[in-house]
Amino acid sequence: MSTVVSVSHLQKKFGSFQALQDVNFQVHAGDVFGFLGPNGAGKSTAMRCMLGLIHADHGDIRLFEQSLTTNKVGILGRIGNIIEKPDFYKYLSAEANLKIFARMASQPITTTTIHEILDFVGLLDRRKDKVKGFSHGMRQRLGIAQTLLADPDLIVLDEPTTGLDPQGIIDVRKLILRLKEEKGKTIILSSHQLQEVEMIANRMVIINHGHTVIEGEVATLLNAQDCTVKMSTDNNPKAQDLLQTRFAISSVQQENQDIIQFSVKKEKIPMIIEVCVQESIGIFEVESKKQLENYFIQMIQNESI
Amino acid sequence: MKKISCLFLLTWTLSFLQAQDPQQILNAAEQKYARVKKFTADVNIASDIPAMKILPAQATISYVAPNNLEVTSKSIIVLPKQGFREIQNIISQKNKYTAIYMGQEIINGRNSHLITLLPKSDAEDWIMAKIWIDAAESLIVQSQTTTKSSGTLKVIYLYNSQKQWALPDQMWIEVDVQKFKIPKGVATDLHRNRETQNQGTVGKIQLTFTNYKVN
Amino acid sequence: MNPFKNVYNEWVKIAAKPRSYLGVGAITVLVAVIVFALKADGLSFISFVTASFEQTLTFGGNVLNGNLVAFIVLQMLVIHVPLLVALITGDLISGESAMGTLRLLLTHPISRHQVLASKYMAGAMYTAFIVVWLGILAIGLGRGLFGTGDLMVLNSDGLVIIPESDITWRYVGAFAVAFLALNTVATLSIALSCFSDNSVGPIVATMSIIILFTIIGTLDVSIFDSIRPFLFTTHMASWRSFFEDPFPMDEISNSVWVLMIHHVIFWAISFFYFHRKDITT
Repeated sequence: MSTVVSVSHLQKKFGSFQALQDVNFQVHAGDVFGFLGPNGAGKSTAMRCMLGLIHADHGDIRLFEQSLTTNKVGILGRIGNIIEKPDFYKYLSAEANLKIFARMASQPITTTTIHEILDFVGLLDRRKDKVKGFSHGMRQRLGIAQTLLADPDLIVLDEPTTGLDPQGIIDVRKLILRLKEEKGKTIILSSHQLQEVEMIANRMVIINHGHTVIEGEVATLLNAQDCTVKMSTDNNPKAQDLLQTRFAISSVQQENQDIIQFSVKKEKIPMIIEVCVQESIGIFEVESKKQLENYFIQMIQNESI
Repeated sequence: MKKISCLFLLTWTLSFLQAQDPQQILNAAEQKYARVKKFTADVNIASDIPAMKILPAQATISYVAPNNLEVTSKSIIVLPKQGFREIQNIISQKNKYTAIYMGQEIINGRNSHLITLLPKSDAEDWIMAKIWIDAAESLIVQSQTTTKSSGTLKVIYLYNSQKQWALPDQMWIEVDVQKFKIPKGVATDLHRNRETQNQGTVGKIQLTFTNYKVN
Repeated sequence: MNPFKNVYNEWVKIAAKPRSYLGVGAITVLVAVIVFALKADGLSFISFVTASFEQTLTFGGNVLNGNLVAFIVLQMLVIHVPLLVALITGDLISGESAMGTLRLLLTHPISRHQVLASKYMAGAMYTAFIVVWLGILAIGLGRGLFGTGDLMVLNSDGLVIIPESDITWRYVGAFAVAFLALNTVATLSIALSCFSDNSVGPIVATMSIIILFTIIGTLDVSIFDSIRPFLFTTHMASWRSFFEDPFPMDEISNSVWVLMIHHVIFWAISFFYFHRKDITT
């Protein structure tokens, strides 16, 4: 599998502030790559270095197995991106904005293609309207349209679902999966909607304080962690007591009247169910979820220590 | 008072020399040019004025007696402020001046009577006028008028084709010019540091008349 | 990547901004006001100009004609039009930075040099448009309302009266040099725009530099004598040299060279800095 993005030992200082200390990660072809980190971790700076907006002090950035410094224009022709909020020329229409970017593409992009993309993001009937009248969600969709304009091989999305309604969020999720599965695109996705990342990303990196905390396959990283289990029984207090005494699970909580919640290794779940049945506790429902959010917080806290 | 004294002295000194009646000479000249009731002509005006660069320009002059003189041109032309029939206007106002015969001089090869005119009233703008009139043909060949407002205007008249109408073919005019100053507040070339050349104080204008149509 | 497409993009952006029409509208109003004032009382203005001569001389012919009106209107070039140019060109980089579109622009397959070059070209086109519009208004409106005739120009050493037949080429040359002077302002403002992330800063900085250099150029202090010939503001009025007699070819050539060198200096500064700049907006 080829490496689309290879970032090694990236460093960047702004004045006296060391924004990036040692960022390393790799993105392979076809990945949906989660790029995670708390606010101020250096995600945006790293992304900007990757796209040539910021000049790194040290380190190596290679895209499509070429050095960014030696073939930047050629590389950028294969990348579509939204960095932070999508900003456009607000005194131009949606269509006029896309035409400006279409003229900058490496290959010709027709008006028909622009219309198709606008239709795809649900803005075709608003194409003649000036962007200054667009809502945040509409600008976000226009940003996605702009990203897809040149049919890029690598798509970099920074908070693509911000400001979208629930249907919009689902649409973006489906779009990303379609781009990966049908078109073989490689996608780097940065988002604070960790459950979205967990659903679609296959690989991820977490950075904090300007360096890489952990990088790897999402499934592998989360499998090593506890699951969050929600269980509904006919005797929740007894079930709760059982979990605490027999299985030494201290994290049992009453989520509501019907459901108790606790964290446990995935392989212990069958045994818990069996013991509950043996103790005549009727089980209505068991749901287990590996939560990236918990993992993320745990990684950041460990790193801070 | 001073003026009256000068006048008296001049009159007393020259009374012995008064071989000619100056008014008669003036009348003869006036008679000659008064026959022209109207005329038009093309005039080429070439000006040489200190602190001014201007190329010769063509104009049309039209005159209707007694005082209606008009000069029209597509180009910008520069003329003396008093015009160039000032001396004729002065001569025509016989009761407003005293004429004194000053003798004869040769002007442009012509034997000419020199007559000095002094205004009788201080209210006049002109202070003194000197006129040289061709003795043989009663043509004004030169004039010099000094005014309070405009200094001295000197005119030389050259006749040829329209001599019978007392209309000159050429007039050479000299006029006093003030030293040039840039008016304040006018945006000019502020970045130049050229040294101002020594400017003269006399401007010259040469008028050449052609295509006369008289009466 | 077709460079003309980049320039076209920049021109589309300039044409779409309402601010771009502010300059055009301001010039139109200014010219109309001046022409109206001259129509109402132009002869008084001429008397004011010819005051030195009017004691003993009188000027005839069509003195207040369209050519003179156009010349008076063009005098505005020295003061007002540089601001109107900087209003647009000073915003070309910093405006995009403030709007957030600069990061989008620079993550497309176009080098930073190409981006900057296309903005310089578009800025020059706008400047040329302003100059041409000013010319059309000044000469067109002037000649339409006042007719044509010889041009009377007041210089520091006197009056020059230029025959009508000798005027057209002078105006063409004057406009060309005026464009060069104004484009120097445009180039300066674009260079300053590279250093800023807000719209207003480069515009104010450009005007401040022009005012400062103009003051240095006009102060009659010997300490400034050595630098005065090298200030671009000293040569911004060099278009007036086209209306002198004899025609000062050396002076005009010198001004053109100085202005061109300023172009090169401002380009070099901006290309060097913009290439290295971190885009954090």
